[in-house]
Amino acid sequence: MSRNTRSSSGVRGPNSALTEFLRNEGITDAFRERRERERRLGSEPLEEESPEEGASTSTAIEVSPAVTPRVTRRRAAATAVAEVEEVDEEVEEIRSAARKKRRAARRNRGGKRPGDSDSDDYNEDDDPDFSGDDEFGTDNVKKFGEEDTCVECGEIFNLTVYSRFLREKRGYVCENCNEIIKVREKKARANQLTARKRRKKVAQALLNKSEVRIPKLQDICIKKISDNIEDVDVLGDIGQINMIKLSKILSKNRSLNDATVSLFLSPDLKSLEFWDCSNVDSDSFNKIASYCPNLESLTLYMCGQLHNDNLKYYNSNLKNLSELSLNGPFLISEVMWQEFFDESGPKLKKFEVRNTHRFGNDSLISLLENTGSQLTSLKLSRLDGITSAAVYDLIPHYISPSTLTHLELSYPTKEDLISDELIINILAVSGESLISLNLDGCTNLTDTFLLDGIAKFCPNLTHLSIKNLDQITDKGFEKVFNEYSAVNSGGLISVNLTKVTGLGDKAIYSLLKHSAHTLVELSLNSINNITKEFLYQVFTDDHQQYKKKLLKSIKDGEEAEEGEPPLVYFNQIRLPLLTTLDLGFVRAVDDEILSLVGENCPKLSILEVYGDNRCTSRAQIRQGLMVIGRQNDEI
Amino acid sequence: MPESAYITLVSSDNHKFVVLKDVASISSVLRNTQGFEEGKTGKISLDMDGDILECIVEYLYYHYKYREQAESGTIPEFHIPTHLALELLVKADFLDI
Repeated sequence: MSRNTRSSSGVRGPNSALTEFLRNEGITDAFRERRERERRLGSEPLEEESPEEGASTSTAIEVSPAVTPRVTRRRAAATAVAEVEEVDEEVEEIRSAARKKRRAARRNRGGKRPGDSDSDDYNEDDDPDFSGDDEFGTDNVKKFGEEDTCVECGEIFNLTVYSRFLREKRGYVCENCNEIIKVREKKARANQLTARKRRKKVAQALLNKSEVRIPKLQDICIKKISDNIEDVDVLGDIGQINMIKLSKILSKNRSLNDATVSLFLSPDLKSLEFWDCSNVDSDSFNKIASYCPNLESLTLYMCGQLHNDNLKYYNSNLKNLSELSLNGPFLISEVMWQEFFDESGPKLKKFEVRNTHRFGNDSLISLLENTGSQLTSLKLSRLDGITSAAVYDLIPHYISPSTLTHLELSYPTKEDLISDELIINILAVSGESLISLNLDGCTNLTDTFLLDGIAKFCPNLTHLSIKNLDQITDKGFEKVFNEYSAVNSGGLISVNLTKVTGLGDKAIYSLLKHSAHTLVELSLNSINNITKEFLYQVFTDDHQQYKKKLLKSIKDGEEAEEGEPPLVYFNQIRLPLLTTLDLGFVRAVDDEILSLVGENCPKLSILEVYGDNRCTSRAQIRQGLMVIGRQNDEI
Repeated sequence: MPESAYITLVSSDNHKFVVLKDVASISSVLRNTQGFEEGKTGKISLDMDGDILECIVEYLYYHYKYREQAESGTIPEFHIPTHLALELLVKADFLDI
């Protein structure tokens, strides 16, 4: 047991790679020592049975791999003497086996060349047990300054301290060969670097949901222009589409400011959208109204600097304004909102406001009184100023029947503000014309509004978003969509069920049965009750053996095995138009499902699988389908 | 007359660029002219200056050269002179490239 003492003394002799590794990992043989001590004491093996000893037991196993892990501790203590010996025997066995192996390997390499002995110091390990067996002496060592044969080219050369030793060839190389090797290594490193860069680029593009391809000349130009936007005096006739593109890119770069905003203003403009106005000040907002008096549609996002006076100015200058979307106009006071609606209200057809606490109860009442009857689009999101459910309840009284096409009431400040009755009342009035409905985060809603509202009154609905509605149940949803086809035969185009966690296989199946032919966008994010069985069946051919068998066994009335979920049969569903699908955090999705989804959705181009850790790089993915969010996608 | 593999692009100030038909076809606008008069004469007159057209021809060849390699992501960037960017954008919009 020479090993035991070695680690404690300051002086270390040569030791094996295994010993070195174990020491680095902090794995010691303290356990064995203790056991020995206890053996000497003889009497108290009980201590060992305390649970915290477990860890050291396992380390002991690692030190001497011959100990069978299943040995109980009690027995281990009892038979300690015998075992230690046994362990030593086995360790000895392993060592001798390793020795034999090494010797064999050397023989295969075709014997030993002169001057090779250095390799022994490095390659062969210096197990004390081993060194005795080394049949190769160190007589043939070349010293620096002597002549040696290059292992690469076979030339004779002068061995120096700088000569490179090739481990795989077990010899030194001459200067010339060394140069060649160096160049080769450099190239390999450069290749590695570019490969890494390329992977990075692809991964980056994946996050942007775009493929790496040759950029359009227009995009190159737009990038160049946006880089030098400060030097541009006037944009000129670059086309409306490019204008919008450019303004979006500037918004994304956060470089939309007073100077750049004015580039986009022209008198004949009918619609204008700026998606990030955080650097646009009050004066520039006024400029919009004075330069573009014919505006009909205005969208300003992140317009924190939009002031009461600006809205007042819009009131008097923008005579044709009928569509207004504001995100974050928190400087506009309640009084100003009322004034604005009194003046411009009758012209407004579409109104959207988000993220302001100053849009209060009275503002909403004023909006409804002045514009309610002709509104076609109403979007209210994250308005913490509206604190009374009674105000929301006014909506169905003011909107006129069958005019509203877009409705969004999302993220109310308290969940009980928006109730099932409210939504049902609204849908009863305007459900017929409604195309898109967004009720994200109205967590008070239950199956009732689906059953008595959407399923009854919404024949033309195509876009539905009900994020975070956790009270909706699998059964309720299933029932709704089974009935819905009687009212809405067209089918939905976009459905967002993110975090509607109550849903499961049956609900999704009924949705797909209803809308499979029209669905373009679908999010099932975080619906973790979806099972693999369901996904597998829905995306597998009905004539497949497994499904035939399953159908037969269900018909025969076979029961599922004990402890298994009951047998359910789902028909295959194809989604011919689906282009984006979010299956994030649907844990049942794996490589097999990924490839099946690809086959059954021919148009699918973006598939998100964040948090599905069974999706790996091994999945077979159809050409043209982008899978985002797998763990192995590196950046 | 045998079908030529080349086509001539003529700028407003009479610079001529002889390019491969395949290369010109990258632009859907240039491709669609082939059914008309331009298809017979092999000449397309474009309302743009020589320096702009030069840039565009360069881009078309760049696109032609690298379209196979685009997937691997190793294509170099295409550089355009800053002072031409705006005008080039208008013309690129026209040519749909």
